[in-house]
Amino acid sequence: MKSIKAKEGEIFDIELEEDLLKRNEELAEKNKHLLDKNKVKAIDIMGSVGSGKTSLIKNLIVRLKKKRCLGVIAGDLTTTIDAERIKEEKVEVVQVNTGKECHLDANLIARALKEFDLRNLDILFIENVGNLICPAEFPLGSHKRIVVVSLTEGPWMVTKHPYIFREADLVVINKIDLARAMKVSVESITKDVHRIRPELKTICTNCLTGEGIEEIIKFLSL
Amino acid sequence: MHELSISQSIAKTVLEKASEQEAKNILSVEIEIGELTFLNPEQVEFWLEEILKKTPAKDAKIQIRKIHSQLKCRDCQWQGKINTKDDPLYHTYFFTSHCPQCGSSSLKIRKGKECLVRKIRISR
Repeated sequence: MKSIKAKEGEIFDIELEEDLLKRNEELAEKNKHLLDKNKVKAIDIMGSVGSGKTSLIKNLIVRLKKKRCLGVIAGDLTTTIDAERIKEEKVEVVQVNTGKECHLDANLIARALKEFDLRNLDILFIENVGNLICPAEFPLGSHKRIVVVSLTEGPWMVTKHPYIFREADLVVINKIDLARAMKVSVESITKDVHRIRPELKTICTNCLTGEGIEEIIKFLSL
Repeated sequence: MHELSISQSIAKTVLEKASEQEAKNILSVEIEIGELTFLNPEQVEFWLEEILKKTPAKDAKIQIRKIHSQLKCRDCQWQGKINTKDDPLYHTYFFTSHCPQCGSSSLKIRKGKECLVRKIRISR
């Protein structure tokens, strides 16, 4: 093979074609493959700060832990508050602190998965960082993605963040007991969701009473 | 929205490739960003310049090109660009995600979600 060595100071163009977002997608596929191999169903739970993601997970755990082996990856910027709250339910929790990052990514999930004994797990809940924008851009390799919207976030949350609803399999409308106080109606939020995707399933919940949780379990066949 | 971390990944990719090629300096970096990503090119450029300040790429010219979206309707096979709402309440890149021809919400994104480091120019 002929080879040409560059002279000092010579200029070269190097084609890279490195797609950084694609790299995340490829890693996500690997995560999914690993989960499938171990027959683990992974559910990614997204939503704003304070929408009720942790409360929802706790509610799901209470109803599922007797018949399923559960694990949780709790994503947060720097604290372990959510992980501690989930630990109260005596399930395995791995905390992922993203530092300054606004979303979980497939690489962080790949690392977190190593902390679990996947062979002994049926369902893995992944609590994403509270954010309605960035997580949409970073698939993790989960089988289903839930978006939690609460009525306390006001009437515009869905309309202002349509992209995340394109990626969702289920929208949970939480804190429905506060509809009157917030002057936000479940119907209008549902209508906004269906304006983005008419076929998208919505389930109303109140995580203080457990209303709606069984419907989620049934819908996701957990 | 996550320009800092993406810029860090871009910088890492650029510096690794340049070092593999035994580059002395990096003269330019060509990046392409899809318009359906949540990446603001202006912020990516700002962060890249900051991150690359003490590296062989400190004088690199950073060129960012936008990749226009390309969508295809799964129902009626329509193909075209995104339909952005002309309303200050809506971010430009957020789209109504409905097929303009048949109204279906089953649109496949064929282009517009990339964040590519296309090319670097180096000197040895």
